[in-house]
Formats: sequence, C-alpha cells, structure tokens
Amino acid sequence: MTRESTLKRTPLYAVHQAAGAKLVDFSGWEMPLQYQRAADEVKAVRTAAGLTDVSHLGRIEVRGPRAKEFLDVVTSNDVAALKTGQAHYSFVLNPDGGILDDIVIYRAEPLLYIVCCNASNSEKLARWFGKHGGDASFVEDVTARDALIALQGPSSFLILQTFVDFDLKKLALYHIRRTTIMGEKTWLARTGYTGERGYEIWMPGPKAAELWDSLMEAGEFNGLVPAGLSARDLLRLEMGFPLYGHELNERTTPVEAGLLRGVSFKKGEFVGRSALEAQTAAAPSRVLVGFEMLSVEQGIPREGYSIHSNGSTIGEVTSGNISPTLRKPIGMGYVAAKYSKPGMEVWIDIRGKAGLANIVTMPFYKKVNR
Amino acid sequence: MIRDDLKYSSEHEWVRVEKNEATVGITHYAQDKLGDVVYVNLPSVGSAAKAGKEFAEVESTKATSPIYAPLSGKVVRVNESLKDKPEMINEEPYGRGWIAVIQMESPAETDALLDAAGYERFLKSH
Repeated sequence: MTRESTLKRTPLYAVHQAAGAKLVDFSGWEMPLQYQRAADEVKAVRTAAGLTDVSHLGRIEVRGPRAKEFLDVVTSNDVAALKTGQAHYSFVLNPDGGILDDIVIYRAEPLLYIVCCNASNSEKLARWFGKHGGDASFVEDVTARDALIALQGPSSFLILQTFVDFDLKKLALYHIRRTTIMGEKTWLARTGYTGERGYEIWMPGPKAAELWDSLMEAGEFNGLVPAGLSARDLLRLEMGFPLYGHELNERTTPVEAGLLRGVSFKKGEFVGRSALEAQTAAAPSRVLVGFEMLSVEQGIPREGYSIHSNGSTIGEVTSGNISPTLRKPIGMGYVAAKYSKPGMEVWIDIRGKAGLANIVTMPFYKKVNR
Repeated sequence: MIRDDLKYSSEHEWVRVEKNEATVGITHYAQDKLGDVVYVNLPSVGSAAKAGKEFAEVESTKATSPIYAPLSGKVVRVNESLKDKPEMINEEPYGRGWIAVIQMESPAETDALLDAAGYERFLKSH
C-alpha cells in the first residue's frame, strides 16, 4: 500500500525503531541511517566501538566439490589459495573487466564458500552466477537466513570475548570460524569496513535482536553505541575504501580503482582477465585518487562535481564529505593518470565556485588500529 | 514542529518579522530532511539579498543545499556561532539555529509568505 511496505526489513528492524533510529530506504531495505549525530557514531567507532546492522548485505553460499573451480572462474582473486577459515577481497567482473560487484569470499568450511556482496547487487550476482553454470544444486542465496551484525572499534575485542568460548585473539584478520554465541551456532569473522579492529557475526534471524541487546548491554561501559549507515559511509570514506555505485561500477575496472589486491594473475582464466591484463600493460588512462580540500571554506566535494587542472576538466568526484575524525573535507574521484600524484593541486568545481584541493595518499585516516 | 508565530517560504525557510527586520532560518522539516548539518556558508554582512535567490549554503553529511532568501534587502547580521556549532540548526532550528537577519527592502514581500497553517498544508501536499 505505502512505499514503505515494499521495503525489506532486517530481523533487527524493531530494535532500530525502539532505539529511535532515523530509517531510510537503502537499496530496497529500510535501514537505520543514524541513531544520533553520525559524527558522534564515527567517533565512538574510532575510539571505542560501534554496532551496525549490515543484514542487508547479500550472502551467497557456494558448496561442494565444484565450488572452488566455479568461483575461480567468476571471481578475480585466487580462490584455490584460500585456506579453510580464510577470507579475501575480490571482484565479479564482466568480460571487459568492468566491476559487477566487489565482494568478500569466506572459505568457511573445506567445501563451503560464503560470498558476501553489496545489497544492491545480490540479485544481479545470483543471475550472473546462474548464467555461468552456478546452478541451484550448489549456489544458494542465504541472505534472509541470518542477520549480520558488525561490531567495530578498538573495544570490540573486549566486548566480544565474553560471548565466545575460545581465545578471540586466535581469530586473525580476514578469517572466519564457526562458534557458539548465546547457544546458537554462528559464523564469526574478523572483517569490516571501518579500518578499525572489528568483527562480523552471522546470527540466525530469530536470535538476532537478543544478541544485539546483549552486546549493547555488555559494551555500555566500553562506550559501545549503535552506528548507522551514515557513520559507516563516513568511516569507509576516511579509509579510502571504495563503495559500489560510487567508486565502482560496470564501467570501472579494478586497475583504474587501484584495487589489484582483489585480483590474482597467478591463477588460471577468469572472466575479465584479458581485459585487466591489457589495461595493466598499457597503464590505465584514469585512476582513482583521494584528495583533501585545503579548508572547509573551499567547500565540500560531492559526487558528480568535476575536477579541473589548468582550466581543463580532468576528472570527477565519486564520494566526498567532511571527515569527522580529520575535521576537513575529503573526497575520492577518478582523474586523468598524469594528475594523480600525491601533492598535486587540483580544483573542484563546487557549484560554480573553484575549490582548491590536494591529491593525497589514502587512507586519509592513518591510525589503523586492528 | 511548525511555529504559529512565524512566516514560511515554500523553500522551507522561516521568517520572524520585527519592524523592518526579518530573521531567517530553516524549518524543522528542512533540517530533518538535510540530516546532520556540518557547515554553514553564511552570507556577508552588508551584502544584498534578493527574494528567491540563493544567499547561504548548508552542508550536511548528506548533501549541499542552497538556502534562498525569502525576502529582499540587506543582510545586517549573521549567526557567527554557526561556524563553531553548525549542529544548532538541527537542535534549535527556530532558535539558536537562525541564519541571518535581513533589513527588508519592501515589507510587502512578506504577504507572499505562508502562515503556519499554509505551510502545514504545503508540507502535506508535497
């Protein structure tokens, strides 16, 4: 009847409502944008901890003896090199090397891989996998089964340790393990999108609200706060992490985005390989850069603003905001390769006014506390 | 959150008229739509404001939004404290979050503004 009724809700919807969250439509999901000022949520994640509902992220399970071979063809990183319990960053590419999605693949069990993808792309990926031989006998979208809760920040370790019966230090960065939390079998991964030490917990839907509330209660003394998608976006921007639909789309490649850490040329054929090899050999004509405005008076860069040098247009902004941690405007964008060196000055067309910016190395926020 | 004692523009500004001066800010509805205000680009004192033309900018974590002058005249005061505390626009949009005071050129322009009931109807129909 109303527009809202067509939006999907996570198992934590009632929790967000009770917490007074501002809810918005995010890729077809009714998600918490913020519970308080986003800058305060960012500060909590940088200095203490934040709890974020990321149940909208798509999760596709690929199982059985064909899983490894299949994934090695449809994704860009080296799946055969993943040990059980390990995860890596990767891409699903079209034959031109354009990015259908950026993903994390977890090898949860010897013959079980979990592909975690962007909410906006999960249906597209399911179709793409189907087209490439990933039929329903071993590929399954399990997004609706579990809530996904991200606990991020320097205090996340202390808060979570009391919930698990193993030494949490043994769970290394970009690793996953099966563990029991509050009597439920869960997947627990040391991954995130904030640049801080943190964890992501797969909790069966019916038990998710109870876990959320228990974590909030346990973390209160450690400064844990709920953090919405606005904070999550600011946190990833401060780290220079790309976001699909902004830095990444089907017309950009991992070479241009400077994300070859998600690509392996050591393995065999995969969709998009030859395009990426050709682009790497020729050097890409445009590349993703980070830049800082000299001061807030110069303006705040926003997606779509053009980037200039010596009177000519050299690129376009893909993300921008004021960094709550650095207290200055920062942004990312694609520029012609010869203007991409750190220290170079460029101008951003800020609604008709020229704002001075410097190309800088990313991350913008350098204290990485994992 | 619409105040009876103010006038409103269809661009979601409020106006408090006292003699020939008009204090201008953005409405509760506007600040809620904008999200967290993180910077306000204020007009200069002494500059000319023209009804319907941009005279300030509000930056939020979501977007940059132009603020249109609801009335013509000279900007005689601006809320300097927004430089340090832009969040006052979210917290007290009708109070400490005021943006500027315009010395009105033609007070008759206020007739074109909405009263509280008119603004409420406007919000419902948009």
